Amino acid sequence: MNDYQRTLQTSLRLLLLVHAFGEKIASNDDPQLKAVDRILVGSKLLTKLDFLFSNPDYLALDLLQWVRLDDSVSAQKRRDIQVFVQQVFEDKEPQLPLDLYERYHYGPFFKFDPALEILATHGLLMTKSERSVRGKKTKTEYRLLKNGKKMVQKYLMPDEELAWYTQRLQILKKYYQGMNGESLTQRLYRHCNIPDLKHGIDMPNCSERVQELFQDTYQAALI
Amino acid sequence: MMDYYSFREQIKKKFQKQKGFSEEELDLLIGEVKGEFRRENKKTPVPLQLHRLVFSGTKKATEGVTPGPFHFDRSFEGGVNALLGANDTYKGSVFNIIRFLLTGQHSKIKKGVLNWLEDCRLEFSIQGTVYTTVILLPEPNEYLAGLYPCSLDELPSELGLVELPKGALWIGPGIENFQKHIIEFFFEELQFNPLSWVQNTPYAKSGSQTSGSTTWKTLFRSIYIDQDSYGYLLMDEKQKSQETLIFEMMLGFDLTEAINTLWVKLRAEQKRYSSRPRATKHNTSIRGDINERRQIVTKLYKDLEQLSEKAKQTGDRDSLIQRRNELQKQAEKATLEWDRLHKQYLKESHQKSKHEARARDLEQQISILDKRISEGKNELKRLKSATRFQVYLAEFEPAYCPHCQDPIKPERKKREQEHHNCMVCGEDVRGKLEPFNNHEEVHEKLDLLSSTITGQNMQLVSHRREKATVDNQLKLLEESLKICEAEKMGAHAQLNRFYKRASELSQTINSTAPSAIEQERAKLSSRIAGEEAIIGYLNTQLKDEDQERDMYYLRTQILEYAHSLLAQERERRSKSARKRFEKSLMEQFKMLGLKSITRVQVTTDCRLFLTQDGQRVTFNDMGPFERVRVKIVFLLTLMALEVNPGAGRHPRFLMLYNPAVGADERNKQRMAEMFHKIEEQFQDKIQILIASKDYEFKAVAPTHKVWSLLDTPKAFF
Repeated sequence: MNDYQRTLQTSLRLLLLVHAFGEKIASNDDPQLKAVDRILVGSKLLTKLDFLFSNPDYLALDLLQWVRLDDSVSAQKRRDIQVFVQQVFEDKEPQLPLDLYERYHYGPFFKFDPALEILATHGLLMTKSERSVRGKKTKTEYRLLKNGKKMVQKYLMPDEELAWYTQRLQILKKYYQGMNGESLTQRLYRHCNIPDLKHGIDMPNCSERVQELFQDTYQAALI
Repeated sequence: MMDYYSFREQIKKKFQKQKGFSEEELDLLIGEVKGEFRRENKKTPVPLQLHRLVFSGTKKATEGVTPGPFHFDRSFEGGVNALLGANDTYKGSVFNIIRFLLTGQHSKIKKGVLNWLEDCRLEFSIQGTVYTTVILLPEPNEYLAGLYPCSLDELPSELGLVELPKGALWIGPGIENFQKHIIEFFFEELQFNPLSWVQNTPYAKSGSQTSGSTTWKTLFRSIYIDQDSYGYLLMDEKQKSQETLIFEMMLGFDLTEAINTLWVKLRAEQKRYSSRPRATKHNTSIRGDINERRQIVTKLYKDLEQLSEKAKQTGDRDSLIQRRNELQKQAEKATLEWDRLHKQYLKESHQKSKHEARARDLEQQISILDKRISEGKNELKRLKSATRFQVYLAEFEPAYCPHCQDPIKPERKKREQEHHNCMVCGEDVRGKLEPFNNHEEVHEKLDLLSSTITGQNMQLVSHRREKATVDNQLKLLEESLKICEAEKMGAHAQLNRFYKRASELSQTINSTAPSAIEQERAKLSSRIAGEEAIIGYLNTQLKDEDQERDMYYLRTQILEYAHSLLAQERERRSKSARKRFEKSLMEQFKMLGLKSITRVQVTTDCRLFLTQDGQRVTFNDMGPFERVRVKIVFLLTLMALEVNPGAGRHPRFLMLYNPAVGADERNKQRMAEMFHKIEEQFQDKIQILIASKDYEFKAVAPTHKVWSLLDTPKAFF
């Protein structure tokens, strides 16, 4: 895959994520929001969700840690997570992460501006940032336009070839719906051994850790 | 040009796969010729020249001879020298005395003259070094001879007939002694030792180069030419087979010595092999002997068996011994069985470890392929998704600046595409507003990826199948090994039992005295062992014989092949010299009036052919007078070849007695002119002594070199 195709993939994920996790806006007279269908607020939230979307080993690790540390997780969820993690490893998904994230201040970071530019050019998704007096971004909104909704609902979701994306989105929605950027960042920081990693390195593959954890949690081996 | 190493390599390549071949053997056979490749024409020819002949004596009263003392003293110079005189002027005797002083042969000197001679001396030089031979004849058939490294003038002019002066290289009585020493002297000085190689018989016997006793005599045949030798080119009928070899030597081409060395070796090898005891006869007698002895051994075994039966019946100590021996045999058999099982066990273990290694290897390859396939599949999945997305994106025309997200109106779009910048924010939009149109390229990529995965899948299936087979074999081997191990243990236990029982019996036997049957059996056993040892030795002899025959064939094949390789190489190297010789010979023929000869050919194996009146002939096919002229021309050309291109080996000295014998006036004149030209052309480089009775030769050289008694009734002494 070349860089452009990688960027396209990122665009695809971002579009799906904003569609799945964005808040639908009520009809508004604001002309700026006339073409907008829904909004996802916070670059932190979008970044962490995309990290889990594109790195199945870390998604598995986070879920296993959650099962291990949180006693309130129901037995059904525990079983579902077991099946899911087994499936991820059977399909050998962790061998080829979609995008390499970098260890940043509070977790993984990936600069997806080029992917957003593609979406903006085609009028699918726009970004709007509020800046402080010093020019620093304080709040970023990801606005899914009507065309973006049409793209997701008419083309992407019914496409069999893209079934993996929609299925993975279901998992993400199931376990991460309702979390904000800050809480998700904190959870990943805790679950994914972020403090043990050096600043600036690519996030390493964590399959071995997942296998150990899986063994501990379910007393069964992952292939 | 072929060097020794490529020559050796070619032979090695041809024979290395043959039984018995070794590089040591090859070096023994051909190593001797190594030097011949390095030194081209290394043996520079050495000219021989006569300076002065002195002899004296007292003539005795016979018919037509005035008695009294005589003294002959004549100097010779380079170029042509002539003694001209009618019949009975003793010019032949002068020539024969020269031959006597150079070779010790006196059979051609007239008996009367030999009886008169008292003191003969000849001063000559070899490559500028002066020597003098002196022979005193105090009584008929008594000789005292010596060779001095000085000129004649340095010796006392008057010698007593009893003692020679001191300072000689050697001195001694007897003409045989003189002959032996003079041969050795010329052998060393003239450096023509290669000629000794052609005399294969002495070499084959002694292996020594200096043993060629006829060497100097052989060479002298190309120096001294008289009526007796005009009939053949270089060798008479008795030694005809040597002629080509001598001719080769006198031509002096590169590698000739090497070729002759190999030829002599080949002959020596053949002689050695043929002179050994007749193989077939010898082998037949050995085989007969072996058969006889085998019959004896069979009979002895039968006797031994009978004795054993007897011992069984008696049931005493003998039966115990027999029982012990049987047990020992059984134990040996069990040991052999154990050995066999152990070997089988080792073999199967080895096979097992090989299979295990292969299984590990396959497993590793399967895991690598597995990983590659899943990577490929993931990659394919992602590429497909990116492609699908790209296709869907095409449904939504690019309409916004990617940076400021400001809508781009159609009328602005063209301009922005041209300038590549957003008119609002200045963002470079190059390529970002282009619609998607690389479907084919993407599909090709997808196909390629898919076919790679399919190929890897097929490989994986084949590896898995092989792995299953290997695993199956491993399982079988493991089972077989278990069985083998159990059998091994069983055999071990059995042999231990046999040995233990045999040892117990031995103890019992040792405590009782031996019987007569036992003594008889010991004797028989010892005889059988002796006979079998002899049979073994005879078999070895038979084997040696076969081996010797094989080695003989190999050696002769190598020598023949090496000989042919060198002959080819010599042909290549000597082509131009051979052509020069042919051309020069042809020119001389024309000059001497032998117009009937139209072509001369020296073949690659150094044989001379002439085309006369359109027919290809050899020297022997020609008429008597033609032979004289051809021979003289031939020798002169050899000398010229030696002087000019430096290729030949003739010592540049000729003695011609009556060369114009039988010729008519015109041809005599032509021959004289030819000698005159030689005199002018070569001068001091060669020396020719002519003895003739023909007036035509008076002008062959300046007057001081021609001693003519043609116009006086006097003799030369």
